[in-house]
Amino acid sequence: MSENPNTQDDFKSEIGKDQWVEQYGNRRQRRPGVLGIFDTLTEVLFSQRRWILVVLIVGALVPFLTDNEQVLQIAGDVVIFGLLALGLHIVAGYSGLLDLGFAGFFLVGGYTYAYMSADLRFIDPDLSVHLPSIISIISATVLGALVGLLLGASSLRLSGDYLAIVTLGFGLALVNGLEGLTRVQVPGFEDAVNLTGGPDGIQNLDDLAFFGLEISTKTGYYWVGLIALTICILGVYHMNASPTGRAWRSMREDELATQAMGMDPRGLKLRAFAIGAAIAAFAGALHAARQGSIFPSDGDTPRLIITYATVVLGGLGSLPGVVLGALIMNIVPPALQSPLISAFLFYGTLLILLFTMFRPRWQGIVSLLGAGIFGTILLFGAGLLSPPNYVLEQLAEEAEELSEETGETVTPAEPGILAWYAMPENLDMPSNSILTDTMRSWLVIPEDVRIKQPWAGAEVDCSERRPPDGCWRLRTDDFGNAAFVLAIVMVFVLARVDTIGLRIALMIPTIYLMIVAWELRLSVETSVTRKIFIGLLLVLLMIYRPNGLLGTRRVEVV
Amino acid sequence: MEDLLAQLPQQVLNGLTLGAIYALIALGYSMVYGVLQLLNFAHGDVFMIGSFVGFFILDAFVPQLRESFSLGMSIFVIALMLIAAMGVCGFLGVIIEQFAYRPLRNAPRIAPLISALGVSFFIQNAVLLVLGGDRRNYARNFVIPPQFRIENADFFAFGGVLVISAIIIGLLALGAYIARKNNRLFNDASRLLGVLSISFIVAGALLMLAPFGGRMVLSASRIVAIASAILLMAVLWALVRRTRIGAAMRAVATDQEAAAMMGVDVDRVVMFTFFIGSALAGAAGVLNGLVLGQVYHFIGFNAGLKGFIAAVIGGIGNIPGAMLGGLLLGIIEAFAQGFISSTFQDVIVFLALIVVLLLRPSGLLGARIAQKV
Repeated sequence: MSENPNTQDDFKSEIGKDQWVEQYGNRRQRRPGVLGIFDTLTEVLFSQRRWILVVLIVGALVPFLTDNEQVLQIAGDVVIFGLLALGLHIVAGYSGLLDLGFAGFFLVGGYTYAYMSADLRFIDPDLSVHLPSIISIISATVLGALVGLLLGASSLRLSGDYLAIVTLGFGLALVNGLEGLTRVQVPGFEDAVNLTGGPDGIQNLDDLAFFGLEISTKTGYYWVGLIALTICILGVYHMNASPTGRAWRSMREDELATQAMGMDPRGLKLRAFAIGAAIAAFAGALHAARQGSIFPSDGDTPRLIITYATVVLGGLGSLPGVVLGALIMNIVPPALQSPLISAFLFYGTLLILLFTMFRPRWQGIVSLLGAGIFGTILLFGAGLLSPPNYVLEQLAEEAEELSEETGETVTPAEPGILAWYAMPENLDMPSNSILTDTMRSWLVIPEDVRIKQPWAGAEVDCSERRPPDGCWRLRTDDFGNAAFVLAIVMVFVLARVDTIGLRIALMIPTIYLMIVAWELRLSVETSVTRKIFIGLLLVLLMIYRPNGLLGTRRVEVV
Repeated sequence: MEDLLAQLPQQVLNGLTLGAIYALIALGYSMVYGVLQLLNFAHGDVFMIGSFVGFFILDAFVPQLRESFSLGMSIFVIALMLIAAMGVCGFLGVIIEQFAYRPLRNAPRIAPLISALGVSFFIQNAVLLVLGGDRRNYARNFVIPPQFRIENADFFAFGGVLVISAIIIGLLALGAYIARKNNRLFNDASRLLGVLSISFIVAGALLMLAPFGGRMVLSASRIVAIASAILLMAVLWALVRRTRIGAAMRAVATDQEAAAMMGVDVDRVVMFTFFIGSALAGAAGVLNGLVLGQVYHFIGFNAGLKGFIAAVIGGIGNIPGAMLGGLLLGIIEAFAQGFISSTFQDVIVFLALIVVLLLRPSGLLGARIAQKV
């Protein structure tokens, strides 16, 4: 207290405010370095209600700053999936209910909208329903809330993990049903009826139209989404401050104590389920309208996991965290599609990890240098063993020219035991950044290595163009895969090593393997890589910051 | 109706095979849950890894098996597949525990669950990246030739043997029940033997009636699956009931803190539990490959889910419960597939789960636990 003599005067006493709590910010110690700056920034921008304004103003500026289709698409994803995450935020964040069927409500909303605003030719060639979109959106939301109530009511007796598994079953059954209800005997029809359109979903949906104003552009949908998100955020913000919100949070911490204080956990759970499901269904309806179609896969397990990642990343139970999570989870993955950005992100993260994970810090620098030297030695070593394939091609061409000139057959140089790429342009992989090209020309990238199996007969010749049985053949991809697996193993081994010398000795090949895995496989298969990193992110986040980026650390009752 | 009756025994057989595999998965789930109260979502992916390990070993032996088939070689290859898959998976389970769950031992309940989802997503997609998304076929015909199988005529005798052994087991159960004298061993033994004898009677009666119904076939791969599953479960039973580490496991499951105070090394016990549970999942992966013949990166999700449902139906945290739940689930699923619709077998399985949970929230064999304040 004595360090802050002004605090006593600054505090204007108010009824219902605790001095100690109000002055928390003054007493808090800033963390040193970049993290401290980050803390200050988040505090200035995100304290009170200010963050809502900041986000909305920036959000509202987007359509004026750019008319790039891709940017608007991503912005639209942010608001719609942000809305979905907001629903989950109520169920899992405030109320602490682990609902793993949450993506199902997104489908409920999307399909309700679709059934009310499309030509349903798969059911009957003449059937077409085109209701005003305000009606279909409202009924989607209401139906979502009803289904939420139903699911909540059927699982009221369950808690924790049981709830998780029953809701997961609900989500899977929904996707299963939407994909499978394609030949159903309906009374009144002669043939079996395709009720849901199966995995192909429902297509050619109407655009949204409110009171004569038709919304058909990406900008239009972005505005609708942004307005919807704003209203929902304000609603959730006030709900959080209301008695219901407080009761939810207290139920999350201790259900028995909540009950003892005279609140009804069953009613609270049902309300959380219904409101969360309604928001998710609303988001689903907007998504269907914007996409112009809806598929069962829109609400499948990957969507569920990504939504959980969104909520958890920002901090479970933190409203600004949901917005931040939605921004990160929807902007970063598409940005990774660009080879340049993804390469910079990968190498940047690698450098940051190297310099922050290990104490003393010089280990990072030494092992990085070591990896550089190691790679260079490998490069020259491979060059000594056998010339890289572009040299072989040149030699073959020269030999051909020479033989044409002289009329004698000139044999070109023999390849060594290794055929490898040294020029990235020979590699059949996308590359349009200098960074990638530089790294690839520094790596030894084997092209096609054949190893004779020890038990294969003597007559087997593995150097034939199409190697016969009895040869192991390793292509470029296989080396990338092997490097990926080895790098994972090495990381696990590294975590167990305590001596500095050994650790550096292991870190050098690990860095090299990581770069090989990245250049040969991860940067090529972007969509799989994205999911791998989301999985990794969830685990690391839970270990190092279980309260997310903006969440507050919760006190555990023992 | 005639048709349904004729199909019944065959579906029971299918269900038993499936159920034996589910029971192995459920055991791992149940043991981990018993010790840590943790829902290990990555368990299904460990199963998938096990299935792939078996696939690659079998693939390596195909040239030799193709040249000359011998029973000894075949048994050797199957044993090697099982042992390798169990070793790799056990090790993988220990690694997962150390890196993804141990730092979260005292975190809020939701944290390890999300971490588990992350691990599952990571393993699935890492396998997709490395091995590709193609479905691969187990070359099972080389190791278990399809002509080895039991058909109609043999079943009457087989069913008779089962019924007779059921009577013997039932007598043993009665004996154990009478002699139990508050002794845990006899208590458990009587319960297990009772369950066994009832299931043997049901299975035996069905088998004896089978030939009158219609054609039924039990392929050798299914026999291998059921026999190995029973063998593994028996080994597990002895391990948990008869060894020091098993006693430590039961102690930690009952009360972690009290066990720690009595000198049980909780970390070691958890590690061991993960090793055993994951090894069983790996074995289940190999058996699944031998029976169903396919493996790809996504099988783990479904299998893990079924394993968990089986564990919950039987009473999670309870080892005989997991076995019973697995068998029951397998039979439910086979019936759903055979008699109702193969599209909705998963939906029906989930309905069964919800019904069991609503009627007996702690599972069929689970004890009702009072909530601690």
